[in-house]
Amino acid sequence: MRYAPLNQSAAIVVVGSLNPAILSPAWLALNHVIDQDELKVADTAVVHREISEFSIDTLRFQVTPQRMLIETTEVPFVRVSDLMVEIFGRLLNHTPIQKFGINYQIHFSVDSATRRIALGRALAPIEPWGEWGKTFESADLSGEGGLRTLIMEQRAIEGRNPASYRRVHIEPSLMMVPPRPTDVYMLVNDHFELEEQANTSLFVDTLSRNFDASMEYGQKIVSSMMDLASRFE
Amino acid sequence: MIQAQRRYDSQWDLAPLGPSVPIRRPYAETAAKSRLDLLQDYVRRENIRKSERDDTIGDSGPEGDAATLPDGEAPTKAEAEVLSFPTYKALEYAPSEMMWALQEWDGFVASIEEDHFVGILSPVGGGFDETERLEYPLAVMRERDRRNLVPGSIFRFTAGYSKKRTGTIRQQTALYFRPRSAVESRANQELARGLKDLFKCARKLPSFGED
Repeated sequence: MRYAPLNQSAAIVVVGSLNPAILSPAWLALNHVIDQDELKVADTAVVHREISEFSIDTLRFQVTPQRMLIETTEVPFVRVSDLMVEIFGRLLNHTPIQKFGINYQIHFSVDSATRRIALGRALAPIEPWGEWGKTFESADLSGEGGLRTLIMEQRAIEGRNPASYRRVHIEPSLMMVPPRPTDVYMLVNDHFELEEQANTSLFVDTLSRNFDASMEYGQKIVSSMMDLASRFE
Repeated sequence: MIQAQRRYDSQWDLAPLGPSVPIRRPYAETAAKSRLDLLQDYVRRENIRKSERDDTIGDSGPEGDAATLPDGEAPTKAEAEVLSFPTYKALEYAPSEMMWALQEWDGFVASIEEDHFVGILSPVGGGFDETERLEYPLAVMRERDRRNLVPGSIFRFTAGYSKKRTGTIRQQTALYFRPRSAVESRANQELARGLKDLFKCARKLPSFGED
């Protein structure tokens, strides 16, 4: 990567029929998904039949009856995939899962405000906006208008259900408070649709087969965007 | 996710690419009330609703029931906050240190020596033709990993850089032992088989991984 991440994470979001009440740090420890040391540092916000939210070190869990998210900011990211495989492959292997997403997100700085503006102009030129587009430009950097958020989508991904897609978001990063004019945020959402009558093993199989490749692909997209930014002054 | 991201967008006065503008956090007014408080509010309301419904059914039958059941009622702000959960939103903080990977390998433990273990590495997604040898000091391993270390254990080894908030950059490696059930899942059988074959070659132990 041309620019060091300010922060990055990998997350898997599963959509299906879930039971938040049982997904707790204690249950994970009881079933040897995490160990006792990790249980001790678990920070539980809530465990309830409607929602469950807790974190274990750099791992974050959110569960509702329809969705489950596991996220980590720590490499190797494959741990989130292993956790999903452990939970749904070994323990909850009769859970209906219809779709899931592999997400990679990153905040990075391109080191200069003018470079970030140039990147925004390259991705979303102001000329097609006519007279209104001209008003985006300003002598003062703080008055400069432009790209706020952009989402690009790839469809018809080979070997996948036709409803699957890959979306990439890019926008100014708001991580720092106050936000800096040099920072960029990107999210790569690799969305997998499973068959209507999907069983858990299909989810586990699809996730395991695709996780590493998906992460690599997402990081390549980010790297190419960093390369593009670096060409500007 | 897109909706969640949009919701997130709408919560912020986003700066366009370039300028820095003061950030307003509209949800700051609810920040004092934790999600747990909101949930407790929600549960309390639900209980009240249920008791109202039970009373109504008992007292006035279906008509009264239909008249008082608030199924179509729009959720209150507190309920909406809970019901829209979880929202997938951008990371909100800069960690004190962030590591990023340059290269990752899958590996297995070939032997355990007095103060280190020997691992054979194969690049992630790169097949098993190119392998490398790793000697990893036991002293820098987590206690749990050291306890469970046996020949044949499969791990992910990551090499990269880390950057501190102060700007210091240094080389860093990370070692993560993968759970057996994940490695031996149907989709990872190729990985498991490849590593087993390598292990057999290295140790000439035909029974590896078949306990």
